[in-house]
Amino acid sequence: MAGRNVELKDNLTEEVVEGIKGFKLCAYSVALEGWRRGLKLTWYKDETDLCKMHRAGGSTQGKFFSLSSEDKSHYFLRSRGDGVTNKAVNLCGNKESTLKLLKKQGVPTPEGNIFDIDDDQMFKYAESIGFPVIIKPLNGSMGRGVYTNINSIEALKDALDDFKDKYKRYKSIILEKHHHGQEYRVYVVGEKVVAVTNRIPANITGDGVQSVRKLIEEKNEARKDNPYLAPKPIKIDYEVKLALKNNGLDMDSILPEGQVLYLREKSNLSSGGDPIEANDKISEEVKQIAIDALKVVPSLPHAGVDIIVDSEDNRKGVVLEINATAEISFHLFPWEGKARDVPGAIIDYYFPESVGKRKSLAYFDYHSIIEPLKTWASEEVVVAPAPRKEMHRKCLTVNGKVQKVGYMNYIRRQALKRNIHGTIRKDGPKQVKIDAMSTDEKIFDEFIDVCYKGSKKSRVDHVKIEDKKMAYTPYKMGFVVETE
Amino acid sequence: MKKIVKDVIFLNNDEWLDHLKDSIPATISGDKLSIYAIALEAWRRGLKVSFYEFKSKFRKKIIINYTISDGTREVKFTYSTGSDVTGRAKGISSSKTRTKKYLESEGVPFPKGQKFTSKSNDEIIEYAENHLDFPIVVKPASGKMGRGVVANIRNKEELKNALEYVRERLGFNEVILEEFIPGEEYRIYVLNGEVLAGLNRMPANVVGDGVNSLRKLIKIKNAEREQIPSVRGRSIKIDSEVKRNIKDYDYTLDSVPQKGEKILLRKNSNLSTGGDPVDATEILDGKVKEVAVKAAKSVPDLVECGVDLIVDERDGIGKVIELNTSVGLGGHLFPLEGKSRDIPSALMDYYFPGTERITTDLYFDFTKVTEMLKSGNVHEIILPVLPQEKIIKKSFITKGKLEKVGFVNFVRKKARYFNLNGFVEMRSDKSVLIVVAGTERSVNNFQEILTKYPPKRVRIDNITEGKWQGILEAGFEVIRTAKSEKAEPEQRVAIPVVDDGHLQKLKKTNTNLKKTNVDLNKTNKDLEKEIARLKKENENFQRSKSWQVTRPLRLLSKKMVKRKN
Repeated sequence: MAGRNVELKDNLTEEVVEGIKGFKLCAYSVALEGWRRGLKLTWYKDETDLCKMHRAGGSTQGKFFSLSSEDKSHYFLRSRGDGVTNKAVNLCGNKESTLKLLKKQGVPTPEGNIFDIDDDQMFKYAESIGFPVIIKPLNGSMGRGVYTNINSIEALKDALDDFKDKYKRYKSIILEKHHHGQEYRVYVVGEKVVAVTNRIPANITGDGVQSVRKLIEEKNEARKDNPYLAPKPIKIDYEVKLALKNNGLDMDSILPEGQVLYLREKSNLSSGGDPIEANDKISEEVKQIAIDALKVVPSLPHAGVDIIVDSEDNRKGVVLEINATAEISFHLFPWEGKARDVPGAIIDYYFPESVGKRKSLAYFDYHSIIEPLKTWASEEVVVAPAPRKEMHRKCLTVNGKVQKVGYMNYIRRQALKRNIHGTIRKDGPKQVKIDAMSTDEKIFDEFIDVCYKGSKKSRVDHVKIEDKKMAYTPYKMGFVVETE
Repeated sequence: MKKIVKDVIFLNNDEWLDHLKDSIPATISGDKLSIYAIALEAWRRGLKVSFYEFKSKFRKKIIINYTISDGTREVKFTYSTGSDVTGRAKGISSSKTRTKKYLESEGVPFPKGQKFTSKSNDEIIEYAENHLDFPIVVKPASGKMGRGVVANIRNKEELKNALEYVRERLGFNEVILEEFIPGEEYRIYVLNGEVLAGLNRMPANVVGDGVNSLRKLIKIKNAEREQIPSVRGRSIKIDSEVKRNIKDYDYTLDSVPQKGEKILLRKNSNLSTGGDPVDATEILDGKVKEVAVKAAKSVPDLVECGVDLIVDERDGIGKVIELNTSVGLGGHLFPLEGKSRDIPSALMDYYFPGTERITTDLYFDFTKVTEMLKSGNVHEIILPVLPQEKIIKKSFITKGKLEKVGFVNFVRKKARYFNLNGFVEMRSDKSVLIVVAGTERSVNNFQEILTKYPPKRVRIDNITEGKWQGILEAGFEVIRTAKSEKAEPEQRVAIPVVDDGHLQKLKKTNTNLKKTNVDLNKTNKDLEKEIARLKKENENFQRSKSWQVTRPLRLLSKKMVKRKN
């Protein structure tokens, strides 16, 4: 793994995103960015009378929120803001209509057509656009029923037979030219490309020493440094073993130094694929294709565009799809390259007046806020405003009878009353450590008195007070009693 | 916090409000009780309720404020006080001196008095002799819970002692001198010119049963108090004052008072030190009520007011001590004696006339709300608004192939789609219990989808429809481990439609039996303790010198007895 360059955002650490996955992470990262700039953040259990955003087939709890400044509010579902109309969402949800529209407006798309499953016309059409081709079900999803790299009429017939056998439900298919080249996800906001990511299948790189098994283990270990990839290890399953077999290898084989071995066909990140940041790897011409694609769809100010770049001419590319509610987390947590601030660009777009404003480093307890929305026990939850002034910090070490006498909870209550954030934890049998932060330096005098005084049954012998500098690390809102 | 009814206390005092009997979770008491009772009433009327945290810099306290709205009018509440009571009205009533000016201008009777900050004791005594009539009372200007109050001071000499005690010994330099009014003190709740409730607070007390000792009676009373939301967490502590009062009856803690004999354990009647709230609405004289109304009206915009007054036993006239905003409603809602007074309903009728309670079968998790607001992470929480229609409840026990086929998720999705409250629970016998509450239309739609259109992989063999007797928490929850089977089964099992009256009786009997059981267990434990104590005493006694010294004597007497025989 030597030589891998990776640069993650230091205000989105592991603690900040702990336990937040999938589309919730998209919503959370956009919400957090707005909130950190001082916008009012409200989470909703469901759509409201004010905003009926297209749900894109999913639930809303923990993914539907609004951000408000003094004079305006914007609603968001996952990464999609209310600048994207439901009409645009519906259009992008239908690949065929999208591609038709793009084609009409001169945006390059793969050549293709819809055919009835038994229509013999398709063989002629395949020859006219030239092999290799792809077939896939009309309105399919998740890559199900997709047959790629079909090289001849015979192969096409085989693929069709297999398709008819396995996917009886679909009566129509799309036949499309198979473009060779790397596929990129390009995230566009306004008229700017913010992030480009190339997702590649699960893979390992040999070092001439270690076995395949060991290399996979090491790769999974390294993925743990990336909060987004940590819960998505490469699992050694049938597909992986098959890939090894096809390469004449097994789990104990030693891979030569520098050799990259792909362990799967598909580039799903969830099964161990790698998101590789590629902002500087695609040409300006291809970037312009992505920007043009958004312009063609009415009311689509930001979205993710899937593009295949021609392997022979990097100025050429075709648009496969536009994702109006795109996942954005992999732009924030690449395996290789630099994290690209998609949430920042989205907030810049909706709240241009907040650009360059001082940002808080705090984060809120997403899970406990979402819980009553998940059970529908509350309608809306407004997050406490982020502290945005300069923070002061003190660390206190308290000696005495301060455990199991209600001291720690007492300190927590006292801290919360005074808007002091931080933690308290046990430190040996007769000692507790308090890490306290506040925007109001004067409040500490009072708080220190409270720490001396203690709860009813406690006895404080000694308090050591240290001034600490605020490190540039995120901190959690509220005051937490940390347990081992 | 749980949907499970076991955390909600079932109260069976017939004098209490039916719609609150089962709706107060065990974690709610004190200030929270007033807020919760009002918010619950509003929410059950289909009004929009929103809670938000407010950090009071002055009091170093996190206060939970809330707004209630019907879409056109929004009323902001602090504790039990709505926004028709202006800040000015609150300011006046929180200052005794200012209050008295208003009372005086309207001719409302109150005990004469004066506040002293820096005058010497002699100067105060001189003032008292010239301006006040003995007997008088001395109290600290910033006192709490009756501390430092010296009552019934009859002459100059006693006043001198009292001043020395309060100012020098206790250190309350600012004192108030007031005429002492002998008589009962009442708290009268006035809303918009009408007396809704009168409360008398009785000092901590127990009533003898002819069997148990005072120690035991106090213990029983404290256990009882834990069950009553208004006095929960406010037990009678056996301290020097309690012991002194018991001594005044010529009793000790081990004495057994006669059946029906009431023993007052304290002089002061604060609920916090074990006093009892007793409803007195019906015994209050009409003239006294008039004084209370007049007192509340004397301050502009004081539409909600708790008037503290003493009914002078010499002339029967009510004399106003204090006007309060942010009145605690617990005592009115859950008195230890007498009827509940439904102030939350009256408040909603006043602020939102025309609204009516839609349901009594649902409550919301207020403890969770307060926890979240106090965590420093949440600024505001809005409860879901109930539909303006009658709400019905149904339960379904479903059997068939329901595991690992997405059945529970299907139920959850549909329940949420139809805006139903309740829960779905997988039980150890592999059946699934579904309980829903919502409008008739939505419950029926849900039932139709459940019976006719379950997901493909699900096979339902049997659905038993039933009535759900318990109260439900707002929201719809999935319970993966069958907690019901661990908890009290009679509350948890869906009961097929049977005669309700009979069922209620059975439930009551069961609850009573359980209570008796708890009591018996307690008595048993106490007896065991007592036996252990006696054994130890006996051992100590046998080990004692005098017992050992007299051993030969005892042996001798035994021999003598034998000889006689």
